[in-house]
Amino acid sequence: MPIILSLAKTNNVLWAAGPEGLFKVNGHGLEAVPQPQQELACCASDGKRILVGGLPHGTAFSPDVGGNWQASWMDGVDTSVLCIAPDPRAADSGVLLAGSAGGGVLRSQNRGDSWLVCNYGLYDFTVLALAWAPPTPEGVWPKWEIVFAATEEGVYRSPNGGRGWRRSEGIEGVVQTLAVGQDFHTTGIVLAGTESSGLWRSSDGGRSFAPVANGPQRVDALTATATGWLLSDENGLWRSADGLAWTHIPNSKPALVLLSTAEGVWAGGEEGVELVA
Amino acid sequence: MRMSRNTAKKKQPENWPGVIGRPLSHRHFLHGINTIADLLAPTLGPTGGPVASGPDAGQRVEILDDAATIVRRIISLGLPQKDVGAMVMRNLIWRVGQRAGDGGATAAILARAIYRDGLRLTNAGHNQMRLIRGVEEGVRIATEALKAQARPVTGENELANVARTITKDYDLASVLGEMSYLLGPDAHVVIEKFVAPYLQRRYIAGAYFGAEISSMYFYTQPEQKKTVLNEPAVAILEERLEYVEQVVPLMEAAIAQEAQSLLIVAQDVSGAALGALVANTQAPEDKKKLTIMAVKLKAVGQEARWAMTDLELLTDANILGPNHMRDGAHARTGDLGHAQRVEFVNNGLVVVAHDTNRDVVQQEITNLRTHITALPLDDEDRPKYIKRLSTLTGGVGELKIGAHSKGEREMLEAQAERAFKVLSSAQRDGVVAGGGAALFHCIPALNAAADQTADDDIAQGIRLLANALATPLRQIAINAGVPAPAVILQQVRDGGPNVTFNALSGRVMDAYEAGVLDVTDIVTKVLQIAASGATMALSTDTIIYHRKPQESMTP
Repeated sequence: MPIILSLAKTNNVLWAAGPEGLFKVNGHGLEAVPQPQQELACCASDGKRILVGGLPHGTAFSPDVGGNWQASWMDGVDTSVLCIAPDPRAADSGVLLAGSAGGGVLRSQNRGDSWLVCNYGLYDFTVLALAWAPPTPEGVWPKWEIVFAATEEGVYRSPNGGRGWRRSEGIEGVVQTLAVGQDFHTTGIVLAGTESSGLWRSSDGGRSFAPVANGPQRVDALTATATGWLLSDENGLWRSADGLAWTHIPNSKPALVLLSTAEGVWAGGEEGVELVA
Repeated sequence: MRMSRNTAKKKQPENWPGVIGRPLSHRHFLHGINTIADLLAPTLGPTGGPVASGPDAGQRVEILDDAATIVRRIISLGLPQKDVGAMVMRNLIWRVGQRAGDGGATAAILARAIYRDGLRLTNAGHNQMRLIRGVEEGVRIATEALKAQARPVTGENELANVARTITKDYDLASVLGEMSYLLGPDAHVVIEKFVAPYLQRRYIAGAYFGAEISSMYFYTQPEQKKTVLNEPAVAILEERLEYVEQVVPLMEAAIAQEAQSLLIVAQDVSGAALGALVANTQAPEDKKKLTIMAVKLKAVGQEARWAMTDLELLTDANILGPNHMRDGAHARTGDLGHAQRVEFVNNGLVVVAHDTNRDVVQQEITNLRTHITALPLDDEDRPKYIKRLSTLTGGVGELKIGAHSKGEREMLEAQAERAFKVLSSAQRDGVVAGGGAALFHCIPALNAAADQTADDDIAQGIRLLANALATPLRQIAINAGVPAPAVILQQVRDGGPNVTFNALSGRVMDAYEAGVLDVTDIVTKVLQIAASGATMALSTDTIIYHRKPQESMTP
């Protein structure tokens, strides 16, 4: 079974990506989809296109559900793209962010045709995860486009859709996964999972983080659901209502990626993809 | 506003030219002070509008919205009787603009209230000098009270709210708040104007230097006139490169470092040296060992020396040249520095440094910040130091604003420049309840101090200031069309130090929730300068009228 590191949903198709390539998830399991990257690290969708990140092209995209592929213009960044995060309103705005291994954050305003390096404020240029906050509610001023970047030395916060960054306080270590609460604009809760320093929680909109006392030490995957939070460590899944108190889900399999969708939470890992909640 | 010399002559005072004393001198002062305060009072608060000035020699009408520029346009009111007081106000408001960046209209209203009340008390028999001592003591107490009210600025929301008090344009205010949040208190922002409505911003990550590329053959992306070098070796030379012998050691040193690319920063690259570098660039890919870019910095004099030093600090390179340990012809492997990424585009060189020299760079940043903080806002060298700081801290912001008319574009630019000054102060000294409420909430502290002061004249001076501190809030309420401002003042008083009158919604509410905020340092400076100007006028008993008074463009 291929290792899955990234999941994305386009219309009714669930995509899974990992070192072995890109797959469509269907009733029969994983169906391999030919794509141009040799070392695939992630996949994402803006609702119209499927994009893949890795090497040698940085990112490549398919406008026709995996039929044809085109490499993006990468603004001189020749390292691997590790994560891609579409703006929650990407279907209209066409804005996407990508995190690279050493090249920092890239921003696209044309659905991935071309990217521009947007590293203002970053001190670490290996970006392992990106997570957007939900759009600012209508009628609220100022209207921010808040997004977070997880790097090998902490978390960065951008109020303007990734154009510039400011380091979040408190958190240190290799942050490999992030999740923003679905009610972010009322609670301000953001979670960050590290490789070996446990789980961190922010309740001030991601400006500062504090360690979560009873969470696992290693967090491989993290997601916000409609009712709370779900994470995975090397032993299995954990559940929490508030991001503070966590309970292990017995007999659950460890996951490397979790994706919340309308039909539930999908988990990808060393044993393929399954619906877990 | 300006009258012709003939009209002025007709209305000249009886003793003109000559000397006049009290009480006529005070009446003349009050005349001018009132004229300027009446001009600026309607502009106070979010409901106040701009002032039209003109037409000038080109029949152009200027639309102005900051008090300092409005008063700068007045070089005479036509009547010498008015001019004395008006020019004192003009100087006072201009000083507020220079030192605080904002608050000229508030200063005018405060100064008028202090002067008018001071005059009334002096005429009633109080000792003028002791009254002034009371006002000075009141300023000290109010300054402490303002400090006690101040809250630190924690995020982009507060900064946007502070910016909104200056621009009144919501979109521009949120961009200014965002830029100030990301760039910090010592923001280096380049403002670019466009001839149609436009609002955009860009952040340039890395140390930015104005530069010229030595040859178009060095572009790695010729169609965009752009060069990107990843992980280049960096050579910095304080000399001209003309001969092949000067550049070969640099290329050999870069190859010895196993670098794939080389950035050469030199005073100039020409002749055979440039030919050798271009020949290398045009070599077939399989034979080319290095991607090279040579540039010369645009800075001159002290700024050029700073640029070289900063590049040396950031890249860990040694500066080469006849005045240094070695020149380019004798460069060694260890003389070359490193960068993470180098980009040349639009006559700008952006160097993203590795983090290896962080401690040394941080120390230099701390020294520069200390120096900048000690400089007044209007110091002419301040922008140079801020620019240098932005080089070391790694970032420049570009604000792109546009409007259809020239006047509107200039007003937007002036607002943005003023807002950055104010936001810088906000990040350093925090914010207080806006809309004149912070000054209003100082009144109880002043009244308490007056009650405990034995000297009646000094106590009256403190009370005089306390009464004056209510005038900005009252004026904002009047400008918002409130029929009974006293009721609003009472509600704000009852609400406590966080409460203000929100002129836009017409409600008394929590200033921090409503985002009606003022910068502590600015409110303090406005108070101090207004009180100083008003007391100076109050202590002046005699006016000398000249036959041909000089008109000064500089306040």
